[in-house]
Amino acid sequence: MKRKVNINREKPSAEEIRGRRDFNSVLQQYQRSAGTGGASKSFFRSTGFLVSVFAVALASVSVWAYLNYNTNNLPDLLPASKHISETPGSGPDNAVASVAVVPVKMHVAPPLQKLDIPYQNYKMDAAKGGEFKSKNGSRIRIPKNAFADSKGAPLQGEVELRFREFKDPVDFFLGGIPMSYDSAGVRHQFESAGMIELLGYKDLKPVYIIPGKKVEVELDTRYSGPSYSVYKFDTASCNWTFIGKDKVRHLDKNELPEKAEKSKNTSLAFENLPEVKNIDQKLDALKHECETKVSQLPALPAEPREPQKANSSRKRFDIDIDLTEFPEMKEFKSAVFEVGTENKNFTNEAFNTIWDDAQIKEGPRKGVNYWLHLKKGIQTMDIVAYPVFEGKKYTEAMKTYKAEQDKYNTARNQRLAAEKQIRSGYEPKVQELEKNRLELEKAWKSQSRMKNDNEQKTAHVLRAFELSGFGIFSCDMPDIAIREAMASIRLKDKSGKLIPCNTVFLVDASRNSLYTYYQPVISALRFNPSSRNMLWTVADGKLYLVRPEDFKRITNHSDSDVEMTEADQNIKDADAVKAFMGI
Amino acid sequence: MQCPSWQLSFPEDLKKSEPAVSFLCSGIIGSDTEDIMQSAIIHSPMELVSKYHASAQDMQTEWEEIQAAQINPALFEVLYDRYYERIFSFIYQRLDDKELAFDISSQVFLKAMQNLPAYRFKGVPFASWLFRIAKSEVYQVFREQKAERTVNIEKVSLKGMVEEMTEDFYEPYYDILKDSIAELPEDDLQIVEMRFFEKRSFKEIGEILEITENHAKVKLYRILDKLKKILLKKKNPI
Repeated sequence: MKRKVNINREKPSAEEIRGRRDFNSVLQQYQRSAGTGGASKSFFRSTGFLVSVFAVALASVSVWAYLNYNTNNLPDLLPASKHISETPGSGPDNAVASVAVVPVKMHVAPPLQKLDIPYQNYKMDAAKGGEFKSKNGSRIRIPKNAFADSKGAPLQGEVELRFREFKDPVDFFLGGIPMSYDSAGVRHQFESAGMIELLGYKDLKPVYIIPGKKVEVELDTRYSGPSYSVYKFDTASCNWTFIGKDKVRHLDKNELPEKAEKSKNTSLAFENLPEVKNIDQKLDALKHECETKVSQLPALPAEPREPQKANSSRKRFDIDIDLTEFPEMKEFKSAVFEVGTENKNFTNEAFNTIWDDAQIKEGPRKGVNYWLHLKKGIQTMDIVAYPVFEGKKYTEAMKTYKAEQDKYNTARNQRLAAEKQIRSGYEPKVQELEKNRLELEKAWKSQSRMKNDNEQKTAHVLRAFELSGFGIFSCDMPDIAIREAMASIRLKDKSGKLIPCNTVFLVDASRNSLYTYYQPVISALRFNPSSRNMLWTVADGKLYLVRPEDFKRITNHSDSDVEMTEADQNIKDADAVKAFMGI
Repeated sequence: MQCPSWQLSFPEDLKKSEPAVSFLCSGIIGSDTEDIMQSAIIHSPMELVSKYHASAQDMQTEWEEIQAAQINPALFEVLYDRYYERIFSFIYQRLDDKELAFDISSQVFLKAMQNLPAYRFKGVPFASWLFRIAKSEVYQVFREQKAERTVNIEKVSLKGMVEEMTEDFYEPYYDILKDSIAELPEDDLQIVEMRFFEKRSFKEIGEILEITENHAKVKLYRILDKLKKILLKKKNPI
C-alpha cells in the first residue's frame, strides 16, 4: 500500500492547537449521547430519546428473533446467576468499545468465597405455589403454576427455591454486591434498605417465572422511608435496572415480639463491643506492662523494728540463735526473749528443766513475737516470747535502730520516686484510652437511645414489591450523604507493608452503604468525620479492618499511614464477621 | 547465539565505549543483549521528547482525577486539557488534513468520556488508553475512506534512521528509505513512526500497541533489518 509522504510539513503551533480546545462542546456531545442533556428540549422529544427508542425496539426484535431461533419460545426473563462474572468479556477492562456508551462493568463478586452469604433453601409444589418466610422475616409468595423450564413449558412437581438476604454493609461486602448504579453515564452510590436474591431450580436446572405471573416479596427491614425504589441487578449489562417503587407495610402488633426478641439478641452489650474489648485489652496490656516494670525495681529492704525494753517483772530466756536461719533476727542478736503475758500456764518449771532441744519459729504476731518450742523426751513446752533488750544493750539497739530507720526511709523514698516515674510514663496512654472508652460509651448510649427511638418510630416494616423473574433485587436510594473531609492514606499491615489489595471499602456505619476505592494508597479519601467510619479490604484471602476508633485518627487534610487489623483466619461466617467489625 | 545477520551501526563514541554492540543480532533479544540495546537507545543521537512517562505519584494523582471524572463527567476537563495537544499531534501525524485531525481529536475525547466508567487503573499512564482510542478512531476514518493515510517525516529523523542502520553515507538512501517506509505494512509503519518520527520509548510503544516492550524492540529491529537490505540492494543491485 503506497501512502502519501510529507517531508518537513509545517506543524501547527502549540497556541493554535490549544486555541482549538473546546471541552464544553465535547461535554455537551457527551451529555447528548448519554441522554442527560437537552435542557431546552424535552428529553422525550429529543433525538437521543428517539434514537434510544429505536435502539431498544431494534434490540428487542433482535433478542426476540434470537430467542425464537435458539430456544423455541424461551421466557423473556432469564435467571440471574452470580457466576455471570466469569462470562468472558464481562470483566472490567479498558478495551475501547465501538458502541457509544459502555455501562459500568459491575459484578456480584464475593471477596471471600468461604464467607459468602449462604442461601436458604425452600421447596415448593409448582402447581400449588405457596409462601415462605425467611430467617430474617421476609416473606415470599409464589402464585400457582408460576414456573417454566428453559423452553417455556410449564413445570409440575417440586421446585427448589434458593433465597438470601443482604441487610447491612457486611452482607453487601461479603456477598460482593455492587453498591453503585450507573444511570445514563452518571454513577450513583446506593444507600440500601436491603436486598434479596431469589433463584429457582428443578432437578438442579434453572427454572423461570412464566410471563404474567408475579412473585410477591415483602422485605423485612428497618428502613421505612419513602425515598427507596426497587432495582434489579441486570447481569447482562452488569448494572442495576430501575423496576419501580415499592409499598411499605407496617407490621401488625402480633408480628412484632419475635422480631423484638431477635433484635435484642443481636445487639451487643457495651462491654462486648469489639472496639470496647479492644480498648480494654490495650488497657490491661498497659497496666500489666507498667506493673511488670515496677516489680523489676530493686526490692525495698524490710522496715527495721523498734527494739523493746525488757520488763523487769517478766521472765526472760537467753537463746543462742543461728542467724543464718533467722537473718531478720540480726538486730536482735544481743536481745533476750521475754515470756509473753499470753502464756497463762507458764511456770518456773521451764527454768528448772534441762531441755534436750529448743526450736524457735514465728509467733502469732509476725515480726513481733516468736514461738519457743522446748523438748525433753516426750515432754514439750511451747512459749510465746518477745525479743527485748536489757540495760545498755537497749540504748545501743535504739541507736542502731535509728540509723537503720534513716537508711530505710531513704531507700523507700527512692523506690517511691522510681515507681512514680514509671507510672507517670503510662498515665497519658491510659488516660487517652479511658477517655476514648468514655466517649465510646457516650456514643453508644446515644446510639442506643437513637436506635430505640428509631425502633419506636419505624418499628419493623415490610417493603412490598413484585418480581416477574429471578435474580438480585434491592430497595435502594441514591446516597446523598455529605462527605466533607478528605485525607490521604496508605493502608499497611502490622509489619508496615502496604496491603496488596485491589478494592477498599469505606463503610459509614450510620448509613447502609459502601464506598469503593481501588488501591491501598488512597490520595483522596472522602468521609464524614462525624460518622462511625470503617475501612475494610481483602488481600491474599485475608480480611482487614480499620476500626472506628482507629479511623478517628484520620483527620481532614491529613496524610498518614493507617494500620489495618487482620481478622482471625478461622472466622467462619457472616455473623462472626459482623461481631469482628462491630456491625 | 545465532550468527548476526546484520549489525546495527552506532555513533562512534558509543562504539568506543560499548564494543559489545558488535554481538547484537536481529533475532535475539535476550537478557544480555537487551542491556546493550538499551544502552544504544540511550546513546542514540535521537532526542527522546515524549512526555508520556509519569511517576507513580503522578499516576496515582491522575487516577484520582479519573475516578472523580467517572462520577462527574464535567471533571474530565482537567484530563482533556492535559492531553489535547498530544492527542491532536498523534492524529495529525497520520493525516494530511488538519481540520479533520481537530475533529477526530474531539471525537477521541468524547469516546474517552463515554468509556470512562469502564476504565480501571492498570499501572500504566492514562495516556496509553487515550492513544489507543485515537489510533482506533484514525483507522476508522481510513476504513471509511474519509482520509488518506499519510506519513509525515522530518528529514532529520530520516537521517537518524539511516545512521542507525548503516555507516555508509549515500545520498540517495534518504529517498529510497522514504519510499520504502511509505510501502511498509501498516503494523510495521506504526512502530517506525512512533519510534523515529514521534520519538516514543519502546515502553510507550508497547503500551499503546498492547505488546511487550521487548516485542516492540524485536519488531523494530526486524523492520530495520528489512529496510537495510532494501537500501543495500538499491545501492548495489547485483
